[in-house]
Order: sequence, then structure tokens, then C-alpha cells
Amino acid sequence: MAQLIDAAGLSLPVSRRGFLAGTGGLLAAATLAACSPGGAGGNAGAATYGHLLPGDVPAQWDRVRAAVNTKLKADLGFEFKPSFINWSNYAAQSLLKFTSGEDFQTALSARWLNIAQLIESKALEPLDDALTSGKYPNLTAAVDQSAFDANRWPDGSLYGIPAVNSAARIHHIVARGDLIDKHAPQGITTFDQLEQFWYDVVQKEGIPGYVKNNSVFDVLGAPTGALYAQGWESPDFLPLYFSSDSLMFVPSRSAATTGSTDAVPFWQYEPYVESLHRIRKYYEDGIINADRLNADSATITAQFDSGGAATCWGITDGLDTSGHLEKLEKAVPGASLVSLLPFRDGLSAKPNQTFQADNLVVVNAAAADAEAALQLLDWVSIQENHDLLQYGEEGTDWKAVGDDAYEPVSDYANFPGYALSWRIPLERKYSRMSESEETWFEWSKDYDNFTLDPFASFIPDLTEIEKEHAQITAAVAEFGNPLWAGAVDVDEGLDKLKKAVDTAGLPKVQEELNKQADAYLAAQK
Amino acid sequence: MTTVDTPAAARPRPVSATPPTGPRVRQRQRPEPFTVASYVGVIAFAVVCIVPFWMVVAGSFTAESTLSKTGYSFWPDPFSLDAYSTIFAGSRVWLSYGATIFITVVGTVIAVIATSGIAWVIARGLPLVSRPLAVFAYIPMLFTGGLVPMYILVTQVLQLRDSWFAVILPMAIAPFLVFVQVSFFRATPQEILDAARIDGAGELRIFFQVVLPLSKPVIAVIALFYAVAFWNEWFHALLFISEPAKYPLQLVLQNLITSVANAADLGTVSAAPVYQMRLAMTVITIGPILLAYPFAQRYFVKGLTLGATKG
Repeated sequence: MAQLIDAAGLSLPVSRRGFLAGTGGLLAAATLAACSPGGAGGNAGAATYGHLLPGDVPAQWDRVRAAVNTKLKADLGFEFKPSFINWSNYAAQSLLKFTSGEDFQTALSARWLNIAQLIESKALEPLDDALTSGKYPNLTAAVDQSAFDANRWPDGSLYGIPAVNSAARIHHIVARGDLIDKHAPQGITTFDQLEQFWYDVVQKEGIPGYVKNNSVFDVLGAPTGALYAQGWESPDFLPLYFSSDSLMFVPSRSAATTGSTDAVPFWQYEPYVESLHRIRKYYEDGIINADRLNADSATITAQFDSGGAATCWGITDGLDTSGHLEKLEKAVPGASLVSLLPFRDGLSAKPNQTFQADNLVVVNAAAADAEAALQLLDWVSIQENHDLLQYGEEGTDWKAVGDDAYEPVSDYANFPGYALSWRIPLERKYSRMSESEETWFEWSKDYDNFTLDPFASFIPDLTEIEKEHAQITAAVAEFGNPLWAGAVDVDEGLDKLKKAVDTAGLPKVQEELNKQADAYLAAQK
Repeated sequence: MTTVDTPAAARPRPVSATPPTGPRVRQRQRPEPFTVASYVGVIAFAVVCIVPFWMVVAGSFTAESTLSKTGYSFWPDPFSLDAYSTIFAGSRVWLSYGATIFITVVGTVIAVIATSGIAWVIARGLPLVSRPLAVFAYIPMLFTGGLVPMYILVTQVLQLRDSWFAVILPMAIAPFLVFVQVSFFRATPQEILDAARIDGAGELRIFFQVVLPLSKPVIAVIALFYAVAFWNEWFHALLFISEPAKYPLQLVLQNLITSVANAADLGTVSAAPVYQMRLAMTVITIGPILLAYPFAQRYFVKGLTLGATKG
């Protein structure tokens, strides 16, 4: 029989003992190796709390975290161990962790993420009582009261600490200063000049004028958008929507005075349609990147940073220069950056804002010790602690430049302070921040430079139109996204979109939005 | 029993003592249209498969500045090793290789043992055991428990957060492969098992010394399937592993694709060639598992031909 087996090429019968011993040994070793606690565990005797942070693990994080934990343990008696979740997976993963009742302390949330679901399922700890208790003085001193007020949920509760470093984040354009010197030496102060610059760059440099991954806000500004010309002329209204990936509605300009919202779909607002036609032209003329529909933000950033475009998207959070300059200089020696906000009225534009924070630090209702979470938020509201976490160890990772700037001296960067520690009065500026960015960043920190939108704290409730909203969102994804990218003819694309959203139940959704918005306006009086 | 056939490759080829005489008639056979069409089709398909792969390889050696402006090309011009030097300058890729190799090797061993064990019991047709076990193995092919229950099971019941076994155990038994192996086991000649029993072998000895050696072809096949699945696995790692030092290769690649900052984290320089590194990571990631196919190839062939000449 053995010979028969050999004949089939299946020689070397397996020794049972050898097989079992080998497998057992392997599994034992594997168990020891794979089940051993991670190296980032806390010290014995000190509680270690988890936190969810979006983004990537900063370089040299272990060293900085050890320094933070040493101080944190001495001050508060516990340590922290955040989990970094990649941005592309953050929404789904954070929701999963909340849903499964996992024990962690804080996370980033917002309307554009999943805060509505979390509040509805009582996964978040209301913070009003804690904040008025007087136990967290550093936190309440570092966050403006108007920021707290603007971020209350319709039930009147506050579910998150606004983690922002400016009063308002204005979408704008980050441009190559060296190319502006070459092709627009007179400077760029208007959108027409910016458009001419884009065309000159495409013709003479052979690179796209502006690159970005697809976004409705780039085209239908709220109130500004890099490609939305009208927003730079008069940034005086914000669209209304149930969710940012669904259909945009335009409220009446006299809503605040008449009390009647009378919101209509975006295609009934001429400047928005005009903007769609402009994007289509840019697409055909090679002004914008042709892969806009499918490109991811990392690819676009890499394209700009390697000198492959004249301008890209920016927002007034003080990270335009620090986010691009070093890589750009490596690819294009002598390159420089300029932040462009071509408002017709310049620094006195006073664009409409809701002051709702893009980032809210929420406290998990399932956290083992919610008080420790607030203690940590209070602790990072102290300048010294804030700097340690955000910029690293002074001397090793950064050095102070003047009173309010820092110069990085190591690779430690990109700590997602917007998910934990951003506080307007504590933020330091990048020492190489461009003059234009510094001007606009300082401007964006002052609440008085903006106009409070009549619908500032209006958060529509989806309960009555969930099915229609889901179908409309799907229709916008199918027919709207190509329009925002300029990839289809505007008239044809709009016809398809209108038909799809009508079928999905647009009248009901529009009526519900107007009803809720009218009620909101009535309550404001 | 003793008529052992010699493998064809080892058999000496007859050598003719005298060269052929007379005019050499060369018969030219016209290829059949089907053969021609087959070759054309297969070659076209091969080109469709190979060209993108080659462009990824070429792109990984093309300088970042050119790659970001002109996109993919057939030849790396200008040639650059920046991506590879950046990737291998840091320790992250080596750690990830270790993680992936551990998950693949240990996972495959566990999966093959578990699958073979359950498949043999199902194939034996034991009353009150085999059928319930078959149903137990079959149900997950149709339904899954869902993401949230699995997450709770792994993280809160089994406490496997940040453990590579959180990646291995949920994939330890693939129902489809269980039934592949069951059908193979059922084809094992009953006479061989009876002969072993008459010689005094118990069930374990029969399984380990008779059935498993006879089943090398199918074990090789399912081991390959498992190995490829474990090698490519990133989703469970994404869910359950938050320690960057324990990330497997595929998760590092997935992070790199979705985020620029991860590129800087891989190497030691902050201005990493992101475009180029994505392609280089792809090459680095898929390279080793490709080597598994040639090793398993001979078992595929044997699996197909074994017993083909029996009457």
C-alpha cells in the first residue's frame, strides 16, 4: 500500500506524533506572540483610557505620547491611549464602536459625520451640567460661549465640545506664489483675475489650474467655494439641506424678516446653475483635473505638492502652508504659497456663517469614566499641555517663535488636534506661514468678521422623510456628482437629476424642510 | 502493488543508434482555427492581465515628479528608487511583513487543520454527528451573524483586540472549502480504509497516516486558498488592530492609498514620494504571495490526474 502511495507521488507518510508536536509547538508560540499585550500599554496602577482619533499616527508618536502620559499621570492620575482610525474608515468604524458599546472616552463627531444617529441612540453624554459645574475652568475659558451656543442640538443640549481654531472656516484657494509672480505679477484680488491665471497656467505651464476631488461645496458655495464666482461677490447666504450629501435648497433672502423660508431646489437659483456651466467649461478646457469625479484627496494633495497643479483647495484653519510647503519646495525649488480669498470686498466681506463647528469632541455615554474624559479636555485646554500634545516636546519637536508661533524641528506633525485639543486662544501659527495665510487666518478667528446666518442653528429632523431622503441622496450620488465634477453636459445632467429626485419624493422633502425651517424662524423671534 | 511507474521526467529517452536516412519529409500541419483563436484569446487575456501589473512595477521606479504629472508609462523614466529606499528606510514595512507572514502561516495551519478535521467527520457519514456538523458548516455560507455581533464577540468576549488571532480566527473555517474537502475525502477508496482497519489502525491513525497523505493535492489547494486569503486580509485587521506596530502589510497599503500622511510614517522623511510609494507598496505586497502559486502548481496537476487511468 505504501508503495502504491509512493507511486502516486505521495510519499513521506506524516508522523502523527511529529505532526501533533509540531503543530502544538507552533500554536503555543503563536499564542504567546500574538496574544501578548501591546507595547503601548499603560503603567501598572494607572487607569488608561481609550480615545478615537481620525487620521494617521503621527511620526514619533510613541515618544510624544509617553511624555504626555507622564505629565497626565502626574496631574490627573490616569493615562490616555488613543486609537487612530484612517479618515476613509473613520465614520463607519467610529459608529461601529459606539454601536457595540465599546469602552472609550471621546471621539470626533459632527453633523457631516454621524452625530444625529449617535444622539438619537443616546450614545453621547450631554455636557451642559458638567460645563456649568465649574469643575472645568480651563475648558470653558478656552472655548468662546458663542461657539457653545451655536452648537446646541435642537433639544437644547450640548453634546460636543467645539474643537476649532478659528471662528469660521472659509473654503478658498491655495496657490503657487511663484506661478502668480510669473503669470499674474499684478497679483490676484478678484475671481476674474484668478480665472485668467488658471487659463494662463494651463496654456503656458501645461498643468491644471485647480485640482480637487469632487465636492458639491466647491461648485455650489456655502457661502464660498473655490469655483463658485458668486460666492466671492456676495457671500450672503447658505444653502439648506438635510444632509450634505443630499439635495441643496436655497432659502428666500427675506426669510428672516417674513418668517417664510420658501426654500427651492438649487437649480432654481441662477448663480448655482451658472456655476455648473462654468465648471463644465473648466472641465472641457483642462482648467480642473479631469479625474475629479473619482480622485481621492490624498492623490490630489500629492499632485499639487509635487508641482502638478497651480492651485488647490484650502480652508482657513491655518494649515495651508504647513500642509504643503515643505513637500512642494522639495519638488519645485523656489516655490512659494499664497492663500487666495478673492472677495470683492476683501477683508470686510463679512460672509454668512452658522458658527456650527466642523469638529465636535463628543463623550461616549458607555465610557467607564466620563468625568475623566472631561478632565482630559480641560487638561488640554492649558497652553503647556496643549502644546505638548499638539506640537510635541519643546526643544525636541518644536521651538517657540515669538509669542504665538512655532517652528517644527522634528518630524512630529499632524496630530489631529481638531478631534481633541484645538482651542482658538491656544493655537500657535506655523513659523513659515505665508503672509497671506496669516492675514486670513487671523481674520477668520474674529466672530465679528462674519454675519450670523438666519438659519445658524437650524438642524432639520429627518424622521418624517427618511425613505425619500435616502432615495434623493442616492439620486444625487448618481446624477449630481458628475455635475459637480463638470463631467456631463449641464442641461442633460440637470434634467436627469430633476427627474430622479422628483420620483424619489422631492415635493414631500421640500415641504418638510420648509415646515421645519419656518418653525425654526418662528422660534427665533 | 509493486509495479511502480517511473515519473516521465526521470525516464531515459531512447536514443536512436543511426540517424534517419532518406529525404526528410516535413509535414506542415495547418493549425486548426480553434487553436489559433484559443491562442489569440489567451494571449490577449494575458496581455490584459500583465500590462497593468507591469505599469505598476514601472511606475514604482518612475520619479514622483514625472509620475504625478504624466501618469503611468511602460518604462520608468526618469528611473528612481526613492519609493523603495523610503519604504525600507523605516521599520514599519518589516514589522508589517512579520505580521502578515505570521497571520498567513499560522492562519493557514490552523485553517487547514480545522477544515480537514471537520471535513473528515462530515465525510465519514457518522450517524448523529456528520449531518448536524454539515448543517453547522453550511449555514455560514448563507447567513452571517453580522458585523456588530462579530465585533462584540472578538473584542469583548474573546478579548482579542490588537491580537493577530483576531484576524485569524474569524477566517479559520471557510464553508466552501470544507465542502471541497468533503467531496475529496468521500472519493477515498473504502478498501484502503478497510485494509488499514484490518491491520489494526484506529481512527486517528487512519486519518493521519492514510487519509491525509492521500489528500495532499486537496490540502495543497485549500492551503493555497487560505494562504492567499490570509495574505490579502485587511478588513479584520482594520477592525481589530489599532497598534500600528501590528498592522499587516495590506492594512499599511490600504492606509497608504487613503492617506498621504501615512507615507511619511512609513519612511524617515516627511516629504515622501506618495504616488510612487503606493505603487512600490503594491509591488512589495503582492510579490511574495505570487511565489506560492508555482509551489502549489504541481499539486493542482496531480489533483487533476490522480486516478485518471483507473478503470
